[in-house]
Amino acid sequence: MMNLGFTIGVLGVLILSHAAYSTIQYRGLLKIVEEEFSGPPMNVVLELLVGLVLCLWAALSVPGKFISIHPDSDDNRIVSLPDNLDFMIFNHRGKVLQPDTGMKLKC
Amino acid sequence: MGSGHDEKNRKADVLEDLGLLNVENLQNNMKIIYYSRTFLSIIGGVIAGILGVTGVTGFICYFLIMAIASLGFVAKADFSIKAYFNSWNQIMLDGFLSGLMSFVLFWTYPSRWLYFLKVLLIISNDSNSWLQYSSNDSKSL
Repeated sequence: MMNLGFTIGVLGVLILSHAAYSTIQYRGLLKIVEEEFSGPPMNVVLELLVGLVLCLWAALSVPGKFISIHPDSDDNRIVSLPDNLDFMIFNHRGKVLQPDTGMKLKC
Repeated sequence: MGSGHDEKNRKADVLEDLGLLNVENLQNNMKIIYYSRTFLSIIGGVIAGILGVTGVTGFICYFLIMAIASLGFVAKADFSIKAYFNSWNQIMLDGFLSGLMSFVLFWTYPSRWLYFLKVLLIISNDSNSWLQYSSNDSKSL
């Protein structure tokens, strides 16, 4: 998934580069026929849109997945015990919030 | 079954009221948002530069791209923001100003790159004549 997103991002950047190159040539042409630049031609605008969509996809998929912040969610299950068990203290105010252990072990 | 479900819901409500959350995961999510926004503002700047947008229109362009990005984040969070973030502001506003700086940089620089590339293009197209000129110059000297 990550690799696919990265490839798509590279493709999007390449398309944008090609659009930039086309715009340079278009501007050169306009300079020759002595007209003002009001906007790139239609196919370049389409290219820009495609590049934007591909880069949007990459930007949303490459950095990683969101992880739940709820203490009770499946993402936050404790799957291994820490090494410093000797130093753990259970006699503190967290007693009031005893976790729902039955629910966690069910999965 | 039903009472158990109610119990679970009540417990979740209590935990939420106490503001208990996994800070590490929250920071992970915020980091993802920063990465995405920075990348998208760079891409938006490049697009605005190629389109040749100037003035206030460019900033409107930036706001548009950031709005699209926010929508993308909401969709990525499966439309349940409360599960991944503290508040709506974090998904909508964070990384906005730093992204603006990158946007302006890449919005104004492409025109200079384009100019630079154009000069390169002219030189490579006219390289023969350019050599001729230089050889003529040396002759005249």
